[in-house]
Amino acid sequence: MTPSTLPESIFENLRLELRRGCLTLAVLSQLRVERYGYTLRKALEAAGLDIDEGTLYPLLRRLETQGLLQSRWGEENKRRKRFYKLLPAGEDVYEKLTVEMARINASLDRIVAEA
Amino acid sequence: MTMLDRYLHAVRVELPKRPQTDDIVAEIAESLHSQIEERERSLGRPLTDDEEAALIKAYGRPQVVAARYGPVQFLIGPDLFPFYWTTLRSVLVLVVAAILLAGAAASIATRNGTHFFNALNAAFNSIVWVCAIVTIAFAAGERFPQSLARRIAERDWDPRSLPPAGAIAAPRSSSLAEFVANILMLLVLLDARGAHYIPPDAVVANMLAAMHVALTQAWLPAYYVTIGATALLALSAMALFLRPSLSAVHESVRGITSAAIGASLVLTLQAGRLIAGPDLWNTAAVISLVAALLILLLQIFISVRALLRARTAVQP
Repeated sequence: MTPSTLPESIFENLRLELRRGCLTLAVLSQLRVERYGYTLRKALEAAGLDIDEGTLYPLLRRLETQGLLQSRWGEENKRRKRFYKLLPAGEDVYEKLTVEMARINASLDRIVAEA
Repeated sequence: MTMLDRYLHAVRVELPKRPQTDDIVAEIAESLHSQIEERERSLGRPLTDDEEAALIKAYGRPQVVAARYGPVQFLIGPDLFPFYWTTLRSVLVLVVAAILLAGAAASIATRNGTHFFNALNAAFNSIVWVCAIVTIAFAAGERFPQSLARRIAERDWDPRSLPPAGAIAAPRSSSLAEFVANILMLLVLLDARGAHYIPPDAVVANMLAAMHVALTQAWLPAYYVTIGATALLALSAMALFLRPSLSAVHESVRGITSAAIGASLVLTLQAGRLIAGPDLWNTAAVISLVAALLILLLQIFISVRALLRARTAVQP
């Protein structure tokens, strides 16, 4: 199949697969300080990583179920907001994933440079 | 009730009922309120209905939004699916075979062919039930780590006990068809002896009666050998269905049963008249027996050749 006839959906699926793990790492990195959903999203966006709420909130729920972060209802600007922060287990996982990510990146750099 | 309220309600309906449901809905509400406020701030005026609708629409269809909070998004996932598929096929064939065999046995014992046709109907209905039960069991396996389906998928295996690579796996559809054909053949043969005649037998019996001919006792040895051979072939086909790598064993059974039936036909030919009736019919019976012998020889040849080929494939 030539690149021009490759369905866009195939690229899109591969891109999402590639992004999924990176998003988790990015979210963990931002929650070393307590944030609520909206500011978390803005922080990621400012760093160049767009993530829509439909993806972000379920991801936060999963991480919370896995015992990596905790959440609480708080108030800001007279509005109830849900605040998230890493638990010690989450910080531990974050450190390990960062090391792993760096290793993958270094390997990929070498592989892509050779190709 | 605002559009946003209706949207949140629609999401809540789709969410699984859990303690966190209220939290999830409250969070989505907060997020959408924040977005609306931000837009209103930047525009310096309240949003119109269309603008609010567009914003809510961008958040996603309620079913899709709710589905993202579910831990499992599929009925049976890719890890379990191969086991689901093999289990479904094995259970299907076992249940259908058991029902058909029970029907055949009942037909023979009561000398009433309708039991077998009732069993055909029951076997057909059982397909739906087996599919439903096995599917539910595996869907549960996807969700509960201690379930039976999960244990089937995760049971230990040993590379050393794999069948040899030369053993050609027979397609399950063909071994299943062979099993059913042999069972039906067995039924017809047993029924003929009991002389209560299920439909295929009745056609032959009526034809013979119309021509005033009858088979002689000379057929009896061949008749019993054929019944035994057919039963053996049915068992072997079932074994092949369950273990497709047993094709060499099944091929041997085919060859041996063909040889046994062939030998019994030779005895029949030597036993004297085959038909009590006109000589012409007797000659016709002799010719058809010889033709059957030739077909059996061909089957023996095919089986031996297949076995030799499998052997050379294993030891190149």
